Amino acid sequence: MTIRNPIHQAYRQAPWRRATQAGVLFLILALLTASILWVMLTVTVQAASAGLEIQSLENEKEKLVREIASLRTNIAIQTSAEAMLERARNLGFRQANPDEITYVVIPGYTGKQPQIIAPPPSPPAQQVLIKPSYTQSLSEWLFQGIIRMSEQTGGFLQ
Amino acid sequence: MKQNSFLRFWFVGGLLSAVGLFIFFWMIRINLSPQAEVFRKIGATYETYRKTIYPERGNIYDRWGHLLAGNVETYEIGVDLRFVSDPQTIAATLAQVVGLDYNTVYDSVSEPWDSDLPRYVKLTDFVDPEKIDQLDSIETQLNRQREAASSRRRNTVMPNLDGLIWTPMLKRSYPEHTLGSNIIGFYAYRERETARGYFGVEEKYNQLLAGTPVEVEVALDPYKMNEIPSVPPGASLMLTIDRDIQAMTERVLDKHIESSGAKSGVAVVMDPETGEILAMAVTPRLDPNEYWKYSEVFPGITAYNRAIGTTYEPGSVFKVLTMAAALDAGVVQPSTPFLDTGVIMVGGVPIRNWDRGAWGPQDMIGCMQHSLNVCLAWVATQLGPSKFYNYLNNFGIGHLTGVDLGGEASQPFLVPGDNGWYEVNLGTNSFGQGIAATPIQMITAISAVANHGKMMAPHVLKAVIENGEQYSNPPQIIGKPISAETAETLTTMLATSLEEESSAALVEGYRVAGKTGTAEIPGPGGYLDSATNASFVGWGPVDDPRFIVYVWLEQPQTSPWGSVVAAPLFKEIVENLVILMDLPPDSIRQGMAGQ
Repeated sequence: MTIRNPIHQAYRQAPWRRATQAGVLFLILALLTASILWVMLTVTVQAASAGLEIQSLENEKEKLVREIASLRTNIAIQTSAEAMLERARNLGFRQANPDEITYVVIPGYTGKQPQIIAPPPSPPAQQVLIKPSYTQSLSEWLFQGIIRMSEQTGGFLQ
Repeated sequence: MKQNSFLRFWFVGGLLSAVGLFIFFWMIRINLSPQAEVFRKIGATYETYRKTIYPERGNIYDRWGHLLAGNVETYEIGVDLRFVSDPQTIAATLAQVVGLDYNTVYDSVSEPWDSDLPRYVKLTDFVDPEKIDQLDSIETQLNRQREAASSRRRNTVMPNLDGLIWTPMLKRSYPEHTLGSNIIGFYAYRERETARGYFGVEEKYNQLLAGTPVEVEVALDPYKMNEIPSVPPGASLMLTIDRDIQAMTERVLDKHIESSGAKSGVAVVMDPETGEILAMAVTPRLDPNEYWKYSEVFPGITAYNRAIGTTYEPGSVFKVLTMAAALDAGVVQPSTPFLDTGVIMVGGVPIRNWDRGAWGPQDMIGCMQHSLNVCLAWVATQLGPSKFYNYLNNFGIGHLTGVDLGGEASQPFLVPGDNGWYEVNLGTNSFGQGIAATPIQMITAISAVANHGKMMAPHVLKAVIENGEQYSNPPQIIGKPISAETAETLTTMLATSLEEESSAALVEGYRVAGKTGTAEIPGPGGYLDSATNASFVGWGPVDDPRFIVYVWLEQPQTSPWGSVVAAPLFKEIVENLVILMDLPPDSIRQGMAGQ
């Protein structure tokens, strides 16, 4: 019969405790890993989803550009000079003879004005003057201050 | 038992670790191997693809914003060979809907795909959306049939359009068809890589309209997806052309060509104060939507735009320039007397009047009114060749006007000292024979008389719309060949001469100045018998000219005279023009001004 050292025995963990600790540690690690993987996966999925949305929006933009161009041209076809003349004729209109025209003076009316499709170029934006003290870092402010003082006093090296 | 389990765990763990290490080792080995670069390149082809973004070609508008040239959606049809399983159905459908040749399509799509071959094969392009709608409905129908049959008949290839792809793109379109096509030109879009504008503003402003194509790398990995750079569309152009005036001018010109039996015609309407061209009608005209019919419409050496691309001997309309030069140089006054004996010898060659008659005592107004060659030849001799040709040079004759349209032509004139110039040239040149000019040169030169002596640069570009902003194209003075006094004196002379001869060009309610021209046509063995060019130039209202109109009928059949065929054409254009320009008759306008 082997006599065990009672003191040594007192510091040993019971096997079930050790197994429980190992299990808990494993679970913590597993949970941490799962959490990290979950965060990574979520971010990746969101980024991929955003990327696909960008792609989809780019396609949508191109489609809209084409549609707008087509619609603009189709409107022009429907309202072409020939088409409008034909429609006017069908509605019973005809061109006025010079003797049928009455000219009326309308105060302030300057006649048909040239078409403006887009606004004229805007004047160059005026630069906003911000005091340097609002944009300088502390070191820049100190450095500039030293240089200014040096210029005012004629230089430190004199 | 416990010992065995423990060993088994260690064995499995060791085996898995060994496999992991082996994979890791091979990964490193592959990355360091000589083939690694090749693998990386192959991998890169799946990461991104290059895409050339062609900006939308800029639009062309008239001065009131009516679209003259735009773009419409159209499609390119091709196949991805990797997915084609039924080439017969694809070929038959495209033959039926798009009109492609069955065998050609079948040969293209039945080729088994090899990784060395391109997987995409283009079959046709510029297919209308209506045809794509038909293809789409056929594909949907075939897919439904396949789904229904899949449960019953396995391992049977049902008819399908798998692998057929249609990609949208833009195509140039001209809503007004032939209207102003000589000014607009056309965009030969069929060869996308080399497509460019030809003639008119499409050629002149091709770079501006086209914009700059951008080549971008598009990531296939959604994680690496970036915003595709925004490619601004080409600049849009606003022209000085008034669509309604252009339509009217073309309509009236066509009518007079038909009634006079002329071979072709030109009519140009310009604002003399700015040089803005309001209308430029010519025949023949091409529908730029069908630009590939160019050689049918313009056989031989026919110019696309005769108003700028064909020089001709203008005849007596040229007398306006001769008289302007003589008045400006102080050689003659409106009241300067001239005794017309019906013939004058210049350089030993007799020059006679158009009717071979003698018109007796005349003043300069009478000379212009009766269009006396003898008188104008005398005026030119009084001026002398040096001054005469110097004035012509200042008027821009013999030089390109610089009008902003592709295809302008010019023919330099002979001056003393040149091989082929004889003294008699001075006499014949004075009434527009032996000297050639384009209608745009003539109207530009004569516009100086209508604009207080200032000659404006003829142009069709009113503004450029780029990046959402509209930039105006200001009028430019290109010369001051005569003084304002000379211009006003000559305008009054020409208005009076029209009134005194009761010209067919007179417009009721509006005082206009103008001059007819009838020119013989040079042929291989001298001037042609019984074939003339009939012209007329006129402007008004005389006290404040708002328009100048130049017309030319080539070889009219009903009458050879400009006064008979060209003057009525001018009159009808002006009668309609004043309505379209909201220009009241002189009496009303002067009354309004007085209020």
